[in-house]
Amino acid sequence: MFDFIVLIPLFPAFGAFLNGIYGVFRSNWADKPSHTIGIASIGLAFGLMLLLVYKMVSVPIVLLALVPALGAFLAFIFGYRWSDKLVSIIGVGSIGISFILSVLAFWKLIHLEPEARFIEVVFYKWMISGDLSLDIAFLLDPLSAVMILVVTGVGFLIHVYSVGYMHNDPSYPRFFAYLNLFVFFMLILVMANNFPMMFIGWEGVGLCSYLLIGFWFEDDYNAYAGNKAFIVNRIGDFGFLLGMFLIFVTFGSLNYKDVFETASRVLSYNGFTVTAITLLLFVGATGKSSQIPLYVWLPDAMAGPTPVSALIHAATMVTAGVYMVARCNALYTLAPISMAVVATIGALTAIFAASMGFAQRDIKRILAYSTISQLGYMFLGVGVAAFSAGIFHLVTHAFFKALLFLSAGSVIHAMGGEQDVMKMGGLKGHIKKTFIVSLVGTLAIAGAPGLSGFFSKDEILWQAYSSPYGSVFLWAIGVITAGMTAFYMFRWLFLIFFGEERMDHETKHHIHESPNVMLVPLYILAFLSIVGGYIGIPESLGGKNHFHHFLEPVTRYAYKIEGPHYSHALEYALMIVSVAVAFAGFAIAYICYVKNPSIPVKFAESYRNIYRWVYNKYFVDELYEFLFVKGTLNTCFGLKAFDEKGIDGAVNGTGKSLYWSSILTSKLQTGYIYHYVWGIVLGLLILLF
Amino acid sequence: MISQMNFFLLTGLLIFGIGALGLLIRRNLIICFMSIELMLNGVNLIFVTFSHYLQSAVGVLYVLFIMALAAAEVAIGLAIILLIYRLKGTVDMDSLNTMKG
Amino acid sequence: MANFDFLSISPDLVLIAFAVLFLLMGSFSRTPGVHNYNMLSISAFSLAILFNLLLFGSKRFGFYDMMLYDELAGIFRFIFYGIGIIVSLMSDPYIEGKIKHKGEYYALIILSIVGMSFIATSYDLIMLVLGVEAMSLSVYILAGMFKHDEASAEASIKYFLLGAFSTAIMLLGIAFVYGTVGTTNYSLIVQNYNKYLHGGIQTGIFLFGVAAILAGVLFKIAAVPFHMWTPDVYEGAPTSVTAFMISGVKAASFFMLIRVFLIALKVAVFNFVDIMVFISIITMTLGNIAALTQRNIKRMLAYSSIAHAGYMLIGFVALNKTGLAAIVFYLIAYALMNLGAFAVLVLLEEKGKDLEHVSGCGFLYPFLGLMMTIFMFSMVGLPPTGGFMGKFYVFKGALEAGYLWLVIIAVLNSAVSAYFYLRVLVYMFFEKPIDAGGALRTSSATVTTALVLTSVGILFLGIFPQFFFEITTKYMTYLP
Repeated sequence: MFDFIVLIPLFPAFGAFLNGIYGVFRSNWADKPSHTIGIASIGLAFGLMLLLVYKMVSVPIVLLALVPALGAFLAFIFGYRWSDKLVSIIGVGSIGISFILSVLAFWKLIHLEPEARFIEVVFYKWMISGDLSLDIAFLLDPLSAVMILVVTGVGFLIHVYSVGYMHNDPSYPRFFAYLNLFVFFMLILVMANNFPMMFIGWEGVGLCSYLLIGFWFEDDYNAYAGNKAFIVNRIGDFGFLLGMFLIFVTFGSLNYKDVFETASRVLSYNGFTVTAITLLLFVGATGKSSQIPLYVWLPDAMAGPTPVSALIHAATMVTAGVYMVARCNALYTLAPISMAVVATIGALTAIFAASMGFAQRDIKRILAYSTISQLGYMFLGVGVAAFSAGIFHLVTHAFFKALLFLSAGSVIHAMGGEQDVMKMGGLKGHIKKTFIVSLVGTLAIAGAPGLSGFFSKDEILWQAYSSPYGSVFLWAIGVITAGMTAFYMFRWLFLIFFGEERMDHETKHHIHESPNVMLVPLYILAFLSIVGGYIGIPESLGGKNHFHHFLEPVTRYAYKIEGPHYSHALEYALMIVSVAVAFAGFAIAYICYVKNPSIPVKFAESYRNIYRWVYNKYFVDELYEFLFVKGTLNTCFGLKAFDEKGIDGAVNGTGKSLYWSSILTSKLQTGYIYHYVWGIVLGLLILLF
Repeated sequence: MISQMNFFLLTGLLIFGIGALGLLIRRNLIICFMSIELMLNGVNLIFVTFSHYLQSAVGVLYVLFIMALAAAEVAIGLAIILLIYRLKGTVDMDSLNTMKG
Repeated sequence: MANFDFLSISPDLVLIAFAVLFLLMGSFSRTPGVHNYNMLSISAFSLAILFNLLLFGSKRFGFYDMMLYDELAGIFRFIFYGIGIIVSLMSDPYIEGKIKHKGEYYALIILSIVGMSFIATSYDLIMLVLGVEAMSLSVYILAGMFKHDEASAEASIKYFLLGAFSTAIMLLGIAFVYGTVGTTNYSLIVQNYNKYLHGGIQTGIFLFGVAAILAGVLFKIAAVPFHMWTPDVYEGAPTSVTAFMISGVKAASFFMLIRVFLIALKVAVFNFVDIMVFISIITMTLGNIAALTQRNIKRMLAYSSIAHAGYMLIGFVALNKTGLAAIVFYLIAYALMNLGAFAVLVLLEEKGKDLEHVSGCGFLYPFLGLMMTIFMFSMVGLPPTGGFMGKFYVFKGALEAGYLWLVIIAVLNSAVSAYFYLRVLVYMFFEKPIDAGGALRTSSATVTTALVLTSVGILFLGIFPQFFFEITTKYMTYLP
């Protein structure tokens, strides 16, 4: 009935296609026809949108995904001619509209009964053949509502920030085009109601991530980092794709609703199929969310512009794996082995990445390892069936990690592009505002009581201990990691803002506070980092845990195991332990980097080997290089030899035989009428017998 | 009666066959064109025969229509052959193989 | 029974009136060259479409049950008239200066389409023959319309002689069908067959007649081995006429196959399924293989049309609703993509007819390059084009009928065909232009309109296939 709304993306796409062709073929691509086509298609799409807003109540959730795409299109089309101002208005405005619409969708959603909070909007049914129907349909339920709020909200702030951060960049419009495109794909990912569409979003965000990591592709290293991210992600996607096929083979459908509703009937608890499906999907998640063993791309991804790191490689895209596991809770809870794998990988990644963060010198790389570590926390959460806790941490992490990255960006901005923390120090006096927001972010991530990170992290730790899937070991790893987190994050803070000023004179002279357009998003994020936790205060602390109850309908198909009940007293005790450990981390960092800066140097000298291992990230990159890249290359050379001799021979043989048969049939075509008459007579004879 | 009918039918088929054979082995466009007329007349004879033995007028109607068709074909065919003659100076089919392959 | 239902042929009456008007204008107008015949002919077709729209949905017998207008006939009338409009759009700049009296050209196009429309509404074999002849005779002349072009004349005589020969064979077949069942009315043929024929010599003669009719139809379809005329005629005829033949005549011929063999001769159609499978395989294989080494684009497209006929025959041998409806869908997509490709060639022809001559044209004329890309993609059968969905539905029909191996052969054929279709694009985009690229009449507004119409149509068919396919499935009521 609403099929016609497919025209909304179609018109801009067609216009973009035409314009792209024109743009490639003609240097003066602002030629009249392309201009007219672009304007007309945009006008048409806008008109249709207004019509739809007027006609349909639940239409905002569809528009959410399309508005950023339109922004991308606009920036792409007019980017190289329009002023930067217009580009930023379009780029930021489209996300802003998206955010308003998602707030609207959220508002409408919470006014429904909790059971009714499952809205599917079929956008377009493409082709129905046999069992396979490829719908473009959107799903709005509490989980996706939370995700779209985070994606558009944090995305909006980061877009605003980018206006200041990226100004004067020659490829300013391209940046916004890609960034908008990314938001579009991310929304597709979280709003899909079936696996293929989620996969489209999954691939799309990967593509945008690749494009944006290599945004400054003039530098070889950036291009290399982009390639690395792309290739490592492909490995994970392969697993995801296999898992998807397995789901289709098992269920005959790829629709979430069909799959999850029937999961407990079709699959047996702890069966082979469900374990295989969930593990394959998790392989995809390790790639996208950079978990062991596929985490290696994320630190290199910091080669992209800082807002990209904040948006894609901290707040949104890398959390896609967590989202996916939470979305598939009905499948994962049926497979305790997979749950154990998810939780273990998560915990190991958390502690492993945290330890790698100890010795890094790059301001963004430290945050990158911290991101990996925090993602490990989230997987630990969903791995012990605490889906709402994992998503809760996802949300708060999006706030404070975006804040930290953007603060880092502000610092880099102030330092004129310097990224080595060893060449900073004492900046507290120069850029006070940035320092304050950084401090808030650091406190939040370290789990200081009262800030958002405290509530979400503690809920995960408590669940890791108390959940039927959890164990005391997971809890212990989590707590140790919490201490390590506090340590390396305060190390980061102290190295940048405290101590002696280690930068050279030239740089020091130029240190300046960032413009307001960058600072305001920081303030908002800082505010959110402080209060973000209050949506999910646990009951033991006298809260209502609204967040948990809001997400409850999502896990309605999950397989429930009754776990033992623990008292609030134990919860308090564990909470105190984790806070104490975090404080210890802070204290050590304070002693090492503020009180007595010589300690780390002495440590590095006396335990040179350990330091070298940690500094070089345990040589994992080199190991992968040796094992996989070299191995693959060697195999490839072998295959190439086979290919040249065997396959090419066969292919060329086929081609040759086709060629000769073609010559032969052409020879039959003599051009004489009477020969053609023979053909007809022959045909008649064939028909007669 | 059946044998009589068969005689007429076979005659019609024979005429048709002669026409077809003419198209197959002759090289002159005019002759070939006449062969086609011959084929159509063979068909006419068959129609008349069936019409007579089935006691139905439809076959005779067909004959009238086919004669009209043949006339139209003559008009067009001769015009085209004339065109060929004007362009090439010959009506030999062997000259008509500039396009092949 | 004397139901002279002139309303049911009103679109054709309008067209005939216009055709006569065109011819008279040539005789009586003092300045025959200045009239906008193409616009007049477009308005004629538009009027015809309008009349047909009013009729659509009804089912009417007329003229002593010699005609039956039903929904599928209505759909095909839309197709024919639409083809007429697009051919009228693309012809004018091409025939300008080459044909003295353009009114004749458009009159013949219109009369030919009237013949097709008669085929579509025929309910008696005599009407079928008259429709086929009205269509073919006009096209014979159209093929030789360039009076000073030897290739055109050669194409014309080849098409004429072979066409007349096949008509004679078809008439012979009708004679035998008439002789055995005593009638040529479609419904009476079935009744009398069931009443009088129970095996024996009579049935044999009947089947002989059916085979001869099938030969005539397959000749028009250009199925192997009746295809021999196709490459020569399509190459030699004026390009706009070739476009008309390759889309219009082919569509009419396929509808003739469906209508005659699924209404009148459905009693005999199962005797020919096996041989049709064979013919469809050799048709597509030979068409694709022969096209591989062609240098002349028109000749290449002629062979490709043979291959496409092979694909469509798959839908016919499936003999189920999906397959038959898929033929109609495929025909629409096929007509659009061929008309579009030929419209591009119409403009590029002044550079030359071979692949080398279009070198670099894709970059010199980006619009034409883009259009050609769409049409070639559609011919290969790549999504999201109509060509892809057409193949998809045809194959689906064949799979439902259990012809898996046939579908595999067809898919392999498609893979082979990608080579020569994409080679056109390779020449257009990756080869150096052979000359500086003098001014080309790319600005012809009518041809541009035709290109836009066809390309949008193809993309529409590819992206919203359900819309058309549901219509064709709904009205595909001819089932064996």
